[in-house]
Amino acid sequence: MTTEKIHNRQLVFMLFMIRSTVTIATLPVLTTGTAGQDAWLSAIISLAATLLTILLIGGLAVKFPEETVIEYSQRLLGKTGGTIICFFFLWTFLNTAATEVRIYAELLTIGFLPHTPLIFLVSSMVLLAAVAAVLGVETIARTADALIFFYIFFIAASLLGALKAFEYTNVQPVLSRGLGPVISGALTPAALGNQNLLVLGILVPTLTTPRKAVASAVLAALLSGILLILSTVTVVGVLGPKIGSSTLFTFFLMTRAIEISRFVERIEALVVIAWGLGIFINLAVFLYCGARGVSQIAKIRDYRSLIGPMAVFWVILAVHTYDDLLDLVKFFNPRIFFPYSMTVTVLPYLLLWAAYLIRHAGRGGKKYIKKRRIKPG
Amino acid sequence: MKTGIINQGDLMLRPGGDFLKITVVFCLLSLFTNGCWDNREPEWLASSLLLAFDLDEENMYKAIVVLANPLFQAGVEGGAGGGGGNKLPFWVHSARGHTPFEAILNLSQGTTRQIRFSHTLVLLFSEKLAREGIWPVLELFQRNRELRTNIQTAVVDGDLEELLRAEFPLEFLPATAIDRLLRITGIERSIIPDSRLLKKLVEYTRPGEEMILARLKVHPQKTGSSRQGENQQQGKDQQSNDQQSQSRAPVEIIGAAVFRGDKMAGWMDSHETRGQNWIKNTLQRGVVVVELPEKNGLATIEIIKMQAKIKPTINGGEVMITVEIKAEGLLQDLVASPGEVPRLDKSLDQDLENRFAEAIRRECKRSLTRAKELKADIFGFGNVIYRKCPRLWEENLAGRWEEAFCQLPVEFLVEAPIKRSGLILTSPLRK
Repeated sequence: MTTEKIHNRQLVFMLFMIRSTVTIATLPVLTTGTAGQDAWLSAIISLAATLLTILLIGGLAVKFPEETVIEYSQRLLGKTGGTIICFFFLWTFLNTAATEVRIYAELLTIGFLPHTPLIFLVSSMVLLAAVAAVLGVETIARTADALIFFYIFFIAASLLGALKAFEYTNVQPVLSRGLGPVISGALTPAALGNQNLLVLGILVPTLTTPRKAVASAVLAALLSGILLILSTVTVVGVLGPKIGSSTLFTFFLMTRAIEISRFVERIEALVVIAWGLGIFINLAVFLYCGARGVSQIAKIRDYRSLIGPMAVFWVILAVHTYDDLLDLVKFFNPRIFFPYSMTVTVLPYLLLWAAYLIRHAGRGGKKYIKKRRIKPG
Repeated sequence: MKTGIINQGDLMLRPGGDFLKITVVFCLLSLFTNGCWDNREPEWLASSLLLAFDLDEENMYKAIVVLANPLFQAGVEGGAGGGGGNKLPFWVHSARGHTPFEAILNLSQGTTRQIRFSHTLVLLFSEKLAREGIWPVLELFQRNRELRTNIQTAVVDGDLEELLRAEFPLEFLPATAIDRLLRITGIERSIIPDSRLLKKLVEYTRPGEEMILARLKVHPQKTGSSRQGENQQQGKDQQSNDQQSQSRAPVEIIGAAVFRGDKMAGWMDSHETRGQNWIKNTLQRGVVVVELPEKNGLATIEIIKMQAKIKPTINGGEVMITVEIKAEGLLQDLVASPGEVPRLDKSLDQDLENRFAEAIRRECKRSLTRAKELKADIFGFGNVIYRKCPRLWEENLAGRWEEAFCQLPVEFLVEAPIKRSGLILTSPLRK
């Protein structure tokens, strides 16, 4: 049983920051596929895919408003089956967060601090996240409340600043090579979105109104999707599709290139601050979810004692999973990342849904159908 | 069961608790670790304001940097005061290397401070390097974390180092002088192309479009080059220098350098460059001088507003371009001997409008002829076709655009009303 509660609004803010940070920092719609100037269409497709995933993940979560995914998967698939499924989720929390903190540290290394050891940058951010996770999900949620204003302001400022250099001719021609390239650009961001949405499985029972979880998640996805579309159009309009797709940190490259006026320029610091805030919330939520999950599987009453060891493990993974930037780029190649991500997110949830439908269609089906009518989602 | 969750958190947050102690230690540590491993003290740094690249006889890259002198005191008249006041405001320094970045790093062999490039305002190329290819330098400006693409860029016609050592009467530093020159000329006269580096990079990567950079023409000066390292005679030298240079500007912006790929193909003069600005809709201000209908004088028309649209007509495989230009003029001058200044009426206005439009059309055609001579599509006609008909472009034109451009029929439709004539309607007569 959990004593901490977070408001649905806070869930929206947290999900928004989690989903926006890495997708905007690296703009996988533009940099992973071959979408080129049609990357904004890829963003729309990935948004649609994300909405489907929310129905999949959030839809199941609201059926069990009192329990985390760890608990109800054991109930649905039996103790062994449920535990195996949950390891998929726990691994994803760990891997996604390790990858994201690595991307953040790479950005700092490339853009600002080339001589500073990577492990230092990674561990300072993980340390912060660990402190937040120890203080609990309420604290993380309130931090998100406080930071969201700065986050949106900084990103909006750089987007507005870029308008002066925007050339709509860079975004044309639309759909010149058919849908194939557009879909290739949508795969990685959609998969990344799925991984991020797994936190719903842990966070829904801590909500004040769990039955509105799907609505909150959809709101967050829509907001971050709109931001992603705007960012993509802006980056392509300013840099052109070729320069835009030739770097890992496209948005950063764009903010370096623009000047708002003769004296207001070099605004890339704003964006990096925003990503720092976003990554902090991101890691804290993932660490919290990972630790809660492990504690429930291992039947440890308090997840806090797990956070220290997990954070250390986390740093090691972040530093050693990828030898260099090329490994990261390879990992995000849609051919590798998409099937991998589908296996760890969508596949287990399809299994859980199948088990749920079989169990509740068999006995007491009427009761559940009635319930579903009352509860939206 | 209230032992666990909340209580432990309280313990850690309590004043004097472990958590608080650790936080205090970390906050104190951060005082000494600012910048982490990349800590750089401003006393050790000198800022580069202008970076120029040249090729020497052995095809090595030569980087020339203009460093702002941190010891210079701007308030001291003529730089002749005591202390740091007698230092020059800037220092021109150069080094060679196999690659642009090596050349930049080799600069430090002669400098006493670490050079910081993030405040560079201008990037210049020598004609020789421009003709050999400038992409290595452009690539460096995208890759490097200190160099930026929000700066001005141009190709220098003449001796690069002489330009950098020249005396600019209104500015302390040649770097700020060239930066302002490029910006101001762009706004006032529109006889140079847009010279922001970012725009050039985008132009370069766009299909069916070629780069066009501003051209800086250096005027040789007799005493201009002897400026370096003569601190003692600085005061006198500066005065004579100032008088010298007041007669003639050390550098002038005339036209543009046209590129094919990353290699310069040739120069364009001011009129040809303005023709390019007309067609690409980048013209901001300018004047057109036309002859009066009676051939007894001249009229100056200032361009107030302009808009241009490039419209492709595609018939099977045949491509035709129509450029529609709408310009609005303001009559600024009627120059004729006092008795003969014509009365401004509807018919004269109509006549001037026709001449204005004709002048614009001639300028555009001249620009087009020159571009076809150089086989460089600086107007982005190819890009318009690519955007309108990507399939035709990919299959038919992309591979042979250079030749296709030279044969491309282009039609100019100019509409140029003159709506106002300044504060007086007609020349007052002496009776």
